[in-house]
Amino acid sequence: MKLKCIIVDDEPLARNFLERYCEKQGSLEVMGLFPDSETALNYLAGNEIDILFLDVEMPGNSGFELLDKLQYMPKVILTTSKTDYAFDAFQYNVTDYLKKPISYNRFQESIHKITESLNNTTVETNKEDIFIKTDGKFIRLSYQDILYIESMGDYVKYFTMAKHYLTHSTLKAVEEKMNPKQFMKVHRSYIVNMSKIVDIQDNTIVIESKVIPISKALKSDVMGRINAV
Amino acid sequence: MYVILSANTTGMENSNLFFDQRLDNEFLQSIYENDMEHAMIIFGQFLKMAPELMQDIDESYQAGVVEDFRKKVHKLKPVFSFVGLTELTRKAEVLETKCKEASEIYDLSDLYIELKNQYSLGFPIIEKEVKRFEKQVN
Repeated sequence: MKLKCIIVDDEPLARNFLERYCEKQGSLEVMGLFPDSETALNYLAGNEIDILFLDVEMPGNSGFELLDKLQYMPKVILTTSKTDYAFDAFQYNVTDYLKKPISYNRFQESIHKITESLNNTTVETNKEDIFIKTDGKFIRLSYQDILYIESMGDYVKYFTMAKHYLTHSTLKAVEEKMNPKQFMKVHRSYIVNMSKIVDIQDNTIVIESKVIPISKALKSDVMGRINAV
Repeated sequence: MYVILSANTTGMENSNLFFDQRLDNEFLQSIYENDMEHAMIIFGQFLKMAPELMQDIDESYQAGVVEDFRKKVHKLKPVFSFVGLTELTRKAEVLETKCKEASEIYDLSDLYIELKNQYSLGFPIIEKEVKRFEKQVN
């Protein structure tokens, strides 16, 4: 089955190049070409894709602003003619960063990276647990044992009833690994296990005795996910 | 003078993918491989787009808004390489970097004039290439 992708770039020749590369590559299906973040977001609101080829500097919202507004995270390949965004790219956990103009070989490498990573994700989502690296070793955590996950700069902390574990990662990276049916990002610093929520009041969630903020932008999503009467 | 890069193409039978030697042939080969049809499309589009984009850049320069000027240079930067004018991409990159240090647009004059001059030399090469492609097809 072909991987569905879209290309977001305000420069027509750059879009044309990527489209041609995708056709040539054979395993990709281009679902749309978009000249700006806004039209791409409209498309993404009603359609799911596997890969997002995304320029950074565009009129209106930048590529990073588009990522901020996405409801789910496909594999992202940033395509830009600047190297200055490498740090942001890392923060957003993008799969690859291609500097324009892009050679076909480099493009293929990137797709190879994606297909490998998608295969790994499939294996992980079939499991009911996750391995996290902490204190120099990998520890198995059952999804059911995780209460919530908190972002702390370049680290994230997993909280269980028994203890907590600090790992070097970003919340975005963690979000991709967790089972989306069970876990939800409720704030830029928190992902919670929905089955562990004790109560919700105003803009806060309580899990065990911990009070966790809900961001305004995500409040309606949170309320939509709970079985409220 | 032309450099023949391939004796066979996937997009068009019985044609050779080769470019004027003044263009960066190695880079062009890395992006088009043997896809002559694609090269023809892009070169043709470049002819249509580039004058308008250069005009836009010039308007920003005349208006004196450095950040607006930088954004337009940034956008055009990779486009030059798509037609093998990689030296122009490098010059645009230097100009874009310099924009961050410039307190006013005239700090960028020398680099901008250099870019424009080089573009004036490069554009006719692309025109010639497009004519040659067309001749080859017909």
